[in-house]
Amino acid sequence: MNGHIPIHLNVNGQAHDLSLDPRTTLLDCLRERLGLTGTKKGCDQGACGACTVLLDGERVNSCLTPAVQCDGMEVVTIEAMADDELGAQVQQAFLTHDGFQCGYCTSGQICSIIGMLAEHREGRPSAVTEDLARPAPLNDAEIRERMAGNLCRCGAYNGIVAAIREVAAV
Amino acid sequence: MREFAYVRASGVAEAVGLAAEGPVAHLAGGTNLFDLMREEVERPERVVDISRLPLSAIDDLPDGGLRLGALARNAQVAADDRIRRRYPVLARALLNGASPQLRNRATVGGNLLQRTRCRYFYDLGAACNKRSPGAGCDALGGLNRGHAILGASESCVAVHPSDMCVALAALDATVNLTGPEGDRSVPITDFHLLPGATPQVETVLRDGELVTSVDLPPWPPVRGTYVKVRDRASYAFALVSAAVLLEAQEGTITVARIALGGVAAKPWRAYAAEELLTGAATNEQAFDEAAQEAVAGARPLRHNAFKIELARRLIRRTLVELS
Amino acid sequence: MTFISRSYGLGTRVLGKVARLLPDGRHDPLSTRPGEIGRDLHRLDGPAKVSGGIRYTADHVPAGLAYAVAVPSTIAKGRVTAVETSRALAAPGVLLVMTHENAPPMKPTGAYATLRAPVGAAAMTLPILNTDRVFWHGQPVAVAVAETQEQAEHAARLVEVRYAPEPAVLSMSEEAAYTPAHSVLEESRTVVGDVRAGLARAAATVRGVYSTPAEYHNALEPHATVARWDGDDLTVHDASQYPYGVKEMLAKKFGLPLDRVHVLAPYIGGGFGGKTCAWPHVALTVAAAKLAGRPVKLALSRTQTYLMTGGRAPTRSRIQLGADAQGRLTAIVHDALATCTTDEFAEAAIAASRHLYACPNISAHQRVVQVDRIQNAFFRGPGVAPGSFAMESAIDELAWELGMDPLELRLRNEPDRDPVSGNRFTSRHLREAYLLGAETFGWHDRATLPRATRDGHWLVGQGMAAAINPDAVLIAAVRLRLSADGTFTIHSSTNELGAGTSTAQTQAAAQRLGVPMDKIRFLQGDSDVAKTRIPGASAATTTLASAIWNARDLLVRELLKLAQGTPLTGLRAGEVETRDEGLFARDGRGVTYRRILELAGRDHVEVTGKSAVPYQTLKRTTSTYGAHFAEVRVDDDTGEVRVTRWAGAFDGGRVVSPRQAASQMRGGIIQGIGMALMEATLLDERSGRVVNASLAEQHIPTQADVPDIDVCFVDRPDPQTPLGAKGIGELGIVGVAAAIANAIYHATGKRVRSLPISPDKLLS
Repeated sequence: MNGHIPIHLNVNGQAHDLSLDPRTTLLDCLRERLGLTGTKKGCDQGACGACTVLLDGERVNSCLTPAVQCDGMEVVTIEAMADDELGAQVQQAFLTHDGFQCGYCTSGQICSIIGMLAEHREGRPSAVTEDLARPAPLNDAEIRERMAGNLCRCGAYNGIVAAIREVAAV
Repeated sequence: MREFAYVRASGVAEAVGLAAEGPVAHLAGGTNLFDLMREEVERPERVVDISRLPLSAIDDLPDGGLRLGALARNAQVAADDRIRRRYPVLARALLNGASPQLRNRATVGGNLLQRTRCRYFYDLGAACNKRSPGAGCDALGGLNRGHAILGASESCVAVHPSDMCVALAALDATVNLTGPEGDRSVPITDFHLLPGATPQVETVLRDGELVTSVDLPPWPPVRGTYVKVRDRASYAFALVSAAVLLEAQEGTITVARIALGGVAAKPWRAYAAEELLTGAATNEQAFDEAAQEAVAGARPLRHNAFKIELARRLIRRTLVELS
Repeated sequence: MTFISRSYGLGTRVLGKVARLLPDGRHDPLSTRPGEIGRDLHRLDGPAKVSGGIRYTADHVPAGLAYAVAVPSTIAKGRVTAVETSRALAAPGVLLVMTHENAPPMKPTGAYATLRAPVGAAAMTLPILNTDRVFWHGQPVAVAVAETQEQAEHAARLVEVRYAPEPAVLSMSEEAAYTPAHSVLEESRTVVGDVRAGLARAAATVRGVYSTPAEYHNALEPHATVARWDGDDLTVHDASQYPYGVKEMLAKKFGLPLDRVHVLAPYIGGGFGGKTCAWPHVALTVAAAKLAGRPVKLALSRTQTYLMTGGRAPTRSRIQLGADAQGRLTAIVHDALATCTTDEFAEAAIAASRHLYACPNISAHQRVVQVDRIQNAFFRGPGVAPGSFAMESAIDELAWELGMDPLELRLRNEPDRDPVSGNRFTSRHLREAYLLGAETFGWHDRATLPRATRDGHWLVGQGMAAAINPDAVLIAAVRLRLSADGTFTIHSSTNELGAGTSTAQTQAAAQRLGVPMDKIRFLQGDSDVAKTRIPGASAATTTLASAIWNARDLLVRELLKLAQGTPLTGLRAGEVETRDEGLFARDGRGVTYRRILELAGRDHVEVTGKSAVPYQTLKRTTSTYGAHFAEVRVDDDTGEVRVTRWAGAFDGGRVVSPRQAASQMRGGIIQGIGMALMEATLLDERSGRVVNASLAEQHIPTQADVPDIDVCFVDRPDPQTPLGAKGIGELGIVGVAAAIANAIYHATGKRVRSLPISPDKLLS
């Protein structure tokens, strides 16, 4: 189609060659083009985190990411989470600790946790890290601040923290 | 969102060259621009994707400072060991902004150029001089709890939403630009403009110019921090924030920097307050006076007078804690 | 009770009188029996939810789908004089633009929200897009349909609408206030005794004005509808809490027989009352699909959820309390004001004042002001959530005035009978909840004076408040099917909002039918199943349990008919029990379900069970109760508030699914924390524009705003209700804002009487 841009996208290990309207977000590309509806649209304005996916390993809001910018990049979504050891652990911990109610924010929460744990392993600080000169322990305050980009209106926050504590302790 | 032509620039020269052919929007992290395009507040016909330009490094400068590439991600800058050790105020400011996901995408250059979050600016049905010059300002007589108390005008009372820029202002950073007419550098404190009668002109950036990097000057070890008051614990724009640097020797203040966020269309340096402090004794009276001075020219709107008192208290307390 | 009677379309007084003449219904034998009920289980829908496998409305992409985007009005009142669609129609991919000039006729229906026309889920009576009238700012005035979402969004921006504006009423002014004939869940006016005399003889009195802003549900899933016509058959996926009501509404609006309309909503991404009513976009999606001749999806943008669906009305409460020197209340006066629209959904802020405390003199009066805004609607704890902020703050103020512990004051005023009707309670264990919560929290360790505890620049304080919410059994039917392999399928047209309904009902049905849980499949969200009216009201658990109970009885009768020639021959329904995967007499003889079907040569047996309102609940007052205990830290310099500790103790009858119940209470408490500290939908009263129509500006609590929350239950069965349970979905939010306001007072000595308690309100 006119003005469309060809891109190559690797999603959950699978290669896709697509021709996209440059207006299409990564989120809409996943949902409407690739049928991967596990990733949710909560606000479409980067204000809720429901659309969080891993882009080249980092957690991002797919609703604010133009899909054409992702040419040649790797995307991991909730649909591939069970294939990953840590992902499966987080999923199980969500069941154990009742880390969700309606389930709508859950995909984004879980992808965000994977990204968050990687950031923490790298020693990245957060706004509540007291001493910027050294890596922060992943205590409750750190978990809460680092997960503040994923809103949950049902209020499953306690369960999510409990799930992260469990996974992080392993 | 309007249709637009999308071009991916492979080098800085190409990005600048494309801009010389006609109006373009430079797309980096997209976290602000793409959102505004969806709202059709921004309506570029051509978008030049600069996200793959080699501008994401953080390099040491010969003078002992640091150069932040315009495409360095907010998260990357905040996590950089040199920033954390030498410019903790900047790391703190970045970490207080947005959410982790947004910080993974948002860039230094994009953060500098992000536009106000005034909801009247976002709402195409509302009058906004920034969006449509001459249309009027619905915020002036509307709901303006989040708006400016300093440096505003009859035409616009919007605030700049950045946390990062507040720290950069306190640190006397320099913005490096390149454009059709060559390279130039602008102090961060001169980079953003107050609204005056032309609120649509927000920075000194010329047509086709590109932010390439931001230089942090070398700083001797100075105590400093960034504090932010907002309506919830995280993931919210500032009601008032402050980047404060303070150094004293034998009870006398030798260095003082105060920059405020959430109060003006640009990061607001409180020069007069800094002057009061420099050479003064480190005591509460000096801090009180400086805090008063920092907001001396403030003019409240109907719903935001509290920001004056809040800024005062935030400055006073931060000075006390740093001393 | 009022709610129930309205739902049934009967007058309160009539139903109340009739109920008194009726014998009590059957008491549920399951209410006290141990078994699956009360077992701590993980959610049955959990594995699908954590793997992205649940399909919500907007996840449906039928073949040939077109995308629709609504155009909001930019005036609050007036007429559309012209709609210029040529630019939109010329844009790539655009299929059509629907306006009031070409929209198919949609017959007006009653407004469900007013509870006066309980057929159909329509939020409002207003004929949207079948008129040139504009009733509120943000009303859909056109719908653009295109091949892709991006094209439709842009086309909607290209539609140019011209208006003839008229003056609009947008503020809640006393002058325009009147007493509505009905208020939601309550009578508009109640007078017991003589409040003037009660105030005159009081040893201590307090008075105050308390206000709460407009608020939104902010469910993470924005409203969405996918509609497909196949000839005269209409299939609609809708993010609805009330699929059967949507079916009824669409049948009426489009002149279809009920059985041609199929509404599917098995899972929704949070509701909280915001998806109880069908907002105009639902019918507009169906109309657009008709015009386009293709399936159409319309998903509201987040911003549009604030424009095109309704939230909680703002309220203002004047309260006066009097008490004698011993702390016994002598007078309660609560005059409340709220906004509504021409459909008059009157948010009754007065409930807590009518039912919580023993008091001989009570005056509760609800008034409303009609404004030109979108219809306000149900939101978790309608009326009682904002009203309890007022009442429970005032009780705290009275406690300080009396120099009495606010817990002690509440214990002294715990009633034996309903303070207004004089009726008995079906059960009420609020006293136990107070004591349990206080113990869990460590209430008695708190400082006796305000502003007494400081930790650096943080002031620390503790506060408490009571919670109350009316309880009801509503209308539901379920299809219960026993298959030849001995497994059961239960179909219901309710849905899974996240409360854990499917888990709780599977637990209860397993025990009811005497089979392990894995023999039961509980399927939801198909409006074709049978008439079901559980739009919310925390009523799913008990109403479905009642319907399944009835289905079980019908099934037993059917099976006994089939079981001729077995050891069951000659036994009547009352003589057998459902246990051990079959029917058994008390003497032990019996036959398994499988065997009964096998012997009868049947593939399956199916019955439809219907809920029954237990008459005894109509003769008595039935509510749920709770007590919140909160600790806050307040930054003495900046006014920032952090909630650091919480204990909530609740009496919701018997707890069916403890883990999910606790999660639901936490969810209510967290929404209450938002209500207390940050939530407000801001309306520019010059234009009617919602100013903060964005999740970035309309704050709800993040993970960082929420502490670990202790939840405990009294967990005593209500002898009058199915399963001994009561509905707890809304209870959690009630009283939370007051508990926080009271804790802030204890921390700082500052009393804030308007929500949200943002930093600026604590600076002075």
